[in-house]
Amino acid sequence: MSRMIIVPSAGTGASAGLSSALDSTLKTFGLRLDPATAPSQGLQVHGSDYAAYLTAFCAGVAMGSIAAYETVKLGKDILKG
Amino acid sequence: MANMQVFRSAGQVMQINGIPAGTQVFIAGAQVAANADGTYPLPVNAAADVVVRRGDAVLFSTRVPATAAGAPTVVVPFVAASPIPAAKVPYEIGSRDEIRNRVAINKVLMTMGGVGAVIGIFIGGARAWKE
Repeated sequence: MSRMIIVPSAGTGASAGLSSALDSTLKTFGLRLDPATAPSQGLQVHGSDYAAYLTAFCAGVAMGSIAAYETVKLGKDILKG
Repeated sequence: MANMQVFRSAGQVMQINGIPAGTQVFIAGAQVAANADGTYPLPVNAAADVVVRRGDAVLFSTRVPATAAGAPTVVVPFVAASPIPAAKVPYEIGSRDEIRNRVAINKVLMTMGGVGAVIGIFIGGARAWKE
């Protein structure tokens, strides 16, 4: 069981705005915990969760790869006539 | 123990100094939202137990003390009920914390799938382009 929290450093002025945008982006993608919705003792991740992350990543690569390959191939066939 | 009659006039509010972010405040068993100035409304003529929670964990609880004469705001300093335990206890299945934990993990899972798909699009596109 481990804890995964990415905490961006605080900034001032323009860097504070950038930091805030980065912060909200990280929260959107789940890479940073939002205090309002986070569990009280932080994120608890088990080994099976890491296996699921890897599976999801590989499945994404496979699906994206096949979809792009077939789409490009179809486009080339259409252009050839 | 004899019943205690509490006299508290309308409009009295409580301020919790040093309350951590991301916590929920319950007064007399009901969750209350903070006013615009960060104070919390108190029930009229009723005893009020205040509990500050984060998820399922109770961080702080107290009874609301009496206000000073003429002062409508009760100031309560936040003192953590107990230090956060060093050993992490797994979240109880079905608890709010466990649900939030699962949601956070699923969010990262979807992100990983999305990142993989974007990389896969580049790989597949390049492979088809070379043929």
